[in-house]
Amino acid sequence: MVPRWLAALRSLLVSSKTRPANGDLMPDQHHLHLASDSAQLALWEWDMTADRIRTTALGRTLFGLTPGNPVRFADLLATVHPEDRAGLEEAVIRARGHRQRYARECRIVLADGSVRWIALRGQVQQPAGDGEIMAGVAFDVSAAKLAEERFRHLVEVSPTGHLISGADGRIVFANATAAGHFGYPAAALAGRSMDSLLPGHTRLAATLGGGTARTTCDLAGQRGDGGEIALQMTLTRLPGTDDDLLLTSLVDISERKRHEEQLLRGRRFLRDVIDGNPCLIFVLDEDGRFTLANQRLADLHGTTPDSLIGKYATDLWPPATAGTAGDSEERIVDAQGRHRLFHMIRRPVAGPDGKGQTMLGIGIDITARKESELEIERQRNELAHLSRVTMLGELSGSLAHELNQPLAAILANAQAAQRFLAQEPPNLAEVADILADIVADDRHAGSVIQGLRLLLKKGEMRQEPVDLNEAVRAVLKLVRSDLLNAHVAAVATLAPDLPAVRGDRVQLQQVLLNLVANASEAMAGVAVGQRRLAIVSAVDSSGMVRLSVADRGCGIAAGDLERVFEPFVTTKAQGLGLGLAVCRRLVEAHGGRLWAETATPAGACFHFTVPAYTEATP
Amino acid sequence: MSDHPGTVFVIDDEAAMRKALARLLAAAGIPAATFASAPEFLAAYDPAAPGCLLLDLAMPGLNGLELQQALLARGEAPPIVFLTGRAEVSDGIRAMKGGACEFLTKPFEDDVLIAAVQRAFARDAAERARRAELADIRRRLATLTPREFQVLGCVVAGKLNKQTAAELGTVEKTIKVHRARVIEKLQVQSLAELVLLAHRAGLTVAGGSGSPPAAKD
Repeated sequence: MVPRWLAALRSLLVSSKTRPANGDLMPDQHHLHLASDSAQLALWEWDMTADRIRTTALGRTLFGLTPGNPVRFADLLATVHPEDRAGLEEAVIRARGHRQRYARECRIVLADGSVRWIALRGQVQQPAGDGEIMAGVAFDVSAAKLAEERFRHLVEVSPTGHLISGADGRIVFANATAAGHFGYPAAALAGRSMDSLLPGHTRLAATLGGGTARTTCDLAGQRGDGGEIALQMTLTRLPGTDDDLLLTSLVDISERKRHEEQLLRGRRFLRDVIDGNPCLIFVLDEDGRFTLANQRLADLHGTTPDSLIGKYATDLWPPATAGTAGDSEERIVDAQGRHRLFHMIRRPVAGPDGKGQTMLGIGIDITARKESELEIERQRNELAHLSRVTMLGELSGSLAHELNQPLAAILANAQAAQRFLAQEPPNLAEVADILADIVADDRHAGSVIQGLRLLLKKGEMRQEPVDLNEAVRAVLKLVRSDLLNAHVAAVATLAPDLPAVRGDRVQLQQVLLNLVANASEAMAGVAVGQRRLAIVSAVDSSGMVRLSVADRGCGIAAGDLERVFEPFVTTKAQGLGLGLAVCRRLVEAHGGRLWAETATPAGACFHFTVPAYTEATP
Repeated sequence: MSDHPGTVFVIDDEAAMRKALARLLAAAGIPAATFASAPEFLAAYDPAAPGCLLLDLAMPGLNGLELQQALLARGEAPPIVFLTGRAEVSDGIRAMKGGACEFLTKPFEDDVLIAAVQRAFARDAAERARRAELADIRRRLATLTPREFQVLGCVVAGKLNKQTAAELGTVEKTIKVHRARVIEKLQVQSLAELVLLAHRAGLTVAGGSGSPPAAKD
């Protein structure tokens, strides 16, 4: 079975030596020649018995053979690149022995050293009696080879790992990158099962559709050293193959995974910081819904941070608490129904998308601080009360006198009235007068008792307008009898139109009472005529109301001007030495100051200031 | 009640008390004059006016005790009923030492006050009577010659005429004449009465060579 074209070929090749057997062949030979030349196909024939090779002109050019000289098989082999030579020879010998076709590609080294890839196709002809003949074609495949070379290079240097596997799931090709992923030399991968490197590969491949379908997933590759590598795998079918070759492309995503994990850890850390914070931390979107709530906030309301997301703040808190930017103190009722006090700070911040009006809120629990402040205030009031009681105990003689006076007048008046009534006729006009006086005296006694009760009363510090001039007068009335007994002349110089101060009348009177009593005692050693006590009220340059109590006593050493305000520092035989210490705390609680100075010409002067009362002050 | 033996001088700085006291006294028929302070009283006081003081102990300026001392220093000692709001023993003692007749603590019962005032009046009256009698005796004593005064001294000392004559360097008869003149001038009826009078006048037995005693109240 000699193909028709081969017979023609043979005729063509022998045309220069033999005449055609018949004229019919001539057009065939001519056409074949034309066709082979235009297809860049070189035709050749090898008379194996004679070892002669004949070829068309294109064949000589392809192999770089000099025209004219006879060519033997060895001559042809000599032009072949040494690396390809043995392979070619073996293929030819096998084809000859088995009388088969063969196809081979090899490099030809040209005289100038350049290399050309050619493809050889050949076949042993059925001998027609004149020995064995092998014939075929040769053509230049350099361009295709270069393209393949370039493509191979592209694959080799690609940062993506490429594995090609057959239908049996075994690797037929692996590029260096893929080998690198798994920690093997490239050659060592061939023949391995894909599943051993990429568990689940076969299962995944089975789901892949035909044609250009692809599937992508992240998975962990099993490295030769026992480790794992995070890979993104894409499976596609290799186009144009019948034997079901699969291309598995692998991108190393370890770095990305690491970043993702880092990011995740960072977020988790931040979340822990936010959740571990004892403050309430939350973010509200422009509709007032939570987009963030920390654990403390969730705990407060007996829920979880996640379940708060999307809820309206007004569902939990009154509108004022949920409110707008700014600082405020808010009372929040927790899940157990307890009232907690928070210092709320709200600041507008850009949302996570950089847009929108979100509100960052931070709530600091100031319940304990408030409670301790209240406790301190309570203790101060308690101490103030104790100190008042003590002081009033010392003043009891004076107070008894203050009460005795109106009582004695009332009794005398009443008994006088009885006498007037007993007269004949009864002196009713006088009795009417007496009754009016009795009422007045009784009221006076009542006012003394009321003042006393006020001072003895235990109560919270009030915030009301207090006339300090009036307080001075009230105190001087209380100590009048004591001052008389001590031969102390008190002179009060009170500023007219003195503005009222904000505070607690009882406590301010207590301070005054203390200062007056101290001043009086300080003058016990002074000659009777010199015992003068001066009380001055005024408005100082800063607008504070100032009260000064000066004595002519022995004074206070410069070094002790501050010490006298320390608790338990006393010069008296009786008393705890708490008076001035308590007074200073009371004045400071009023937002004022209490201090001592040395007076001229002699003695000590105590001053205290209290802010004037204004409607605006809270 | 103009027939009452005197006026109560009420001195108290408390107007209400002052008024009540004056009223009570008026209701009891006792005239009263009120003063708001010790100096005010001192300026107006006439020692010749009979009565007593109703004096508040604690007052600004001059207090009750100080007023008492001031009156004593001036040689005028009207009876004083002290009033005080607080009963302090030390004040009471000082007041009594100064010759106070009562020390009342406010408040007081009306009859207690009135009784105290009555006692003070009685004391004032007695004192004034004593002073008047003394003045009368002194006036009579002032009519004696020095010689008669010497004889009186000896008589009061209980000496016999003979002893007196020897002491004064004269004879018994002359002494008898002097004695009769003394009894006549002093308007006494008996020797006993003469001795009593001399005693009231504060004449002591010490020293025969006496002179009329200095006027002393």
